[in-house]
Amino acid sequence: MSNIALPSIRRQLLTITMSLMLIITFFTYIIANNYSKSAAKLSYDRLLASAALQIFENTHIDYHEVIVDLPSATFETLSMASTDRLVYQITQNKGEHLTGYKGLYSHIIDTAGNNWQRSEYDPRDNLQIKFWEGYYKGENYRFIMLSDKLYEVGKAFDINILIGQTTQARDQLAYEMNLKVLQMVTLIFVIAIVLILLGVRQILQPIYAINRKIRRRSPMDLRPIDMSIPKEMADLIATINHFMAQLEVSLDHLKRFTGEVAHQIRTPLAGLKSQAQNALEEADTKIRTEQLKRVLYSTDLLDSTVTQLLNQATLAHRFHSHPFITLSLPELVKSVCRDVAVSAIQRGVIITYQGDENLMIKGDAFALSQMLRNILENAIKFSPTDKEINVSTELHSTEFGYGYIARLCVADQGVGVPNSEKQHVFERFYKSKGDPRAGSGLGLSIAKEVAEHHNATIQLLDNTPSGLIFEINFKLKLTEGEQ
Amino acid sequence: MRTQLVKTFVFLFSCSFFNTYTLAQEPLIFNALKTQQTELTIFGGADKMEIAPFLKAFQKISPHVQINYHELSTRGVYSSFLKDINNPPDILLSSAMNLQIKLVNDGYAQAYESEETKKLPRWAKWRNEVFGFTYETAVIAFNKDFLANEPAPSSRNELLDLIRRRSNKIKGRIGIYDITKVGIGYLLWAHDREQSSSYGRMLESFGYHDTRVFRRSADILQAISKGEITVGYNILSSYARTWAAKHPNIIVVQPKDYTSVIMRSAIIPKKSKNVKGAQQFLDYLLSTKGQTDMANFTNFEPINNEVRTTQPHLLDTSEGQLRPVPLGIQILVINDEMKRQIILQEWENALFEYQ
Repeated sequence: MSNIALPSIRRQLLTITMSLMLIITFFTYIIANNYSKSAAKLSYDRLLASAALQIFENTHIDYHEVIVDLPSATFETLSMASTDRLVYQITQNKGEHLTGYKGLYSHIIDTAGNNWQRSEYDPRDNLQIKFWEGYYKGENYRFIMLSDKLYEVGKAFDINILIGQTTQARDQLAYEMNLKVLQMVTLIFVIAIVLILLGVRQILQPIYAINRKIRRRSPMDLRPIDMSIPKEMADLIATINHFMAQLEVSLDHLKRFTGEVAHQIRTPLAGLKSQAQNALEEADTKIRTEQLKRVLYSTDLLDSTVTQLLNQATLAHRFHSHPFITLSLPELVKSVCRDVAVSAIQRGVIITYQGDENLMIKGDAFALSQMLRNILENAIKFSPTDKEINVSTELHSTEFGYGYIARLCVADQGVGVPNSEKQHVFERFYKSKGDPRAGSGLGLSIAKEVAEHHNATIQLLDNTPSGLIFEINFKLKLTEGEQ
Repeated sequence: MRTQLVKTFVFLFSCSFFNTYTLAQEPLIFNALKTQQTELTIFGGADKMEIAPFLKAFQKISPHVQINYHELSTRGVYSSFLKDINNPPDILLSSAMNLQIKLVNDGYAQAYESEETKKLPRWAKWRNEVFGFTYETAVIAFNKDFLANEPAPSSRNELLDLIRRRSNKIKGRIGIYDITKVGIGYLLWAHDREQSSSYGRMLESFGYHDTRVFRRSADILQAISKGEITVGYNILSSYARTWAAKHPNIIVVQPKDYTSVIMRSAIIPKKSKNVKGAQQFLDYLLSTKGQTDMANFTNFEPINNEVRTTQPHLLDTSEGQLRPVPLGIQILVINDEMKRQIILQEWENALFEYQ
């Protein structure tokens, strides 16, 4: 056996599911990572926005001057980010300092450029909130810029509130959320792997069980395997069971056949022995010659029996190894007829052939020749002298008109076979009782095997006024062109 | 309004002038007890005579250290440091929490974590860069003779009630810190403004009664003990109690509605030259030994609760009526320049409008 061993099902299942799990885990992590980052960003941005809004609420104009009265709670919410530093500046118009960190506004406006990220939060007219994240004095800050206008009679003031906070807390939050997710994902991954391992084991269990069951059996135990199995494996078991059943039938056949063969060979051998002994003791030359002739005859008979057995073995082998080919039935018939014509003429029997040319069937030429030869030899054997054996081939439509059959007939004019015996004719080692012309009793059984192998029917009909007709019907699957 | 703003700037200017003056003073030098190996330079807001015993106690543990103590005003600690940030002291000690927080927020401090700093409650440190080492309340001090047999008011409302009832006698005899000059005064006043519903009435009442302003705690307390004034409001308990101990005619009251608390805090600048020495000093400052020494040798009130419980007059730091000034970015509001102008203006308008 040169089959390359395929990777084990177990390993394949594990590889596929593990890879899948890894991919899923990886993507889950990426998604969760992004989500936690944006969630942390969002929540801390809201704190910044609320601080900026609070400041704006407490900004008013007093005698043409903008007054920013920072409410005490302004940085209270921002101090929830307990370790983050804070910078801010409030300016009016085009960056004029009002309060806070001087120079912060212009510095951030220059650094951030157009990279501000606009917020959708816009509850009032003119109010605009923008975010930017970047470095300021060597540390990463998240900045919010709230811009709005304050009005006095005939005059508008542009107010810009800029607050920046370092990002430790939000980074920490994102990190913690991430860690939680990672823990969850790892947990799920581990559980999944355990379940997969158990599942694969469970799935493969029946295979191991069947394997064990078959391995434990004695080679002679061909009973069907009887166990509960998953649906997917039912076919396999059915096939195995079918195979074993066939094996059992074959074994039975073989046993019976061997018995029969032994019996069939032993009888002529016994005869041979006694005749040979008789001949040895016979003084009369004439009688001894007669006896020795009988020894020869018996030897011939034995020889023909063994030949037929070999033929049968050859055919059985061919049935397994030779595919059918398309062949011309008339050609084959004519060829066989020619082969047996000489021996027929020696017995005073004439073989005629009549049939459609171009009748093609699918089959094994050697086997079919063997079949026809056996039938013809049988016919010749039972044919009276000076009588004809008519061989014919013809195309027939089937009984119900659904297709065609190729019919091969071999008709002799012998005594025929009574109906009661017709069914036994094809049995192995069947011989007409008391008929000295009987052969090995294998020829016709071989013919029947060949016919059955070709999915053809073989039957015996009575010829008129007397004799026997072998009718063999091949089912044809004609293509249109062949009709 | 504008004239008042100008006035404020004049105050601020004079304030900084005062600071440069103090910086020019020579530091107090404590020679190492044994062979000198290192120098530890301290900028401190505390009176040098007050803190000297404590520094000497530290030197007993670290005998190889020479300590150079620069006594400055609380604002002086801040501005002197900023004036020469490349040549900073090794540690800054100040009661001006707002300014200490500002230095940390602006990135001038370095972080330090040790067993001692870990023991501090969360509200007594920020970013492991600033550490509160005292826990001092703002109290009201009374002249006993003035009260006569009357019990001392125990809350702000009772104080206002007393002032109203004895309005004529109390006029011109209330003393408070000059918040334009005294950092701790401004801090406590701003804190009051946020905490108290009685703030407005108090401002009005103080203004009406020709309240006198002082630059030093000692001056207020001295005036009370001499009977020049009868009430001192928002005085640091550390000073008030020391004075009360020496002058029995001073009564100290911790207001029951709420009591403001401030923490003196320590910062190690990033560019400190003797970081290790500064850290050792900080650890000592926060250790049970240091806190006990502080309680024994100075009038500072230790932050360590175990040490506090050994001092009968000190409240537990978890006491509900105590409201500490937060040591965190919340305090930046108090620092805001415009906010400062608003508060100072409000204060001046109320106090000096009628003068």
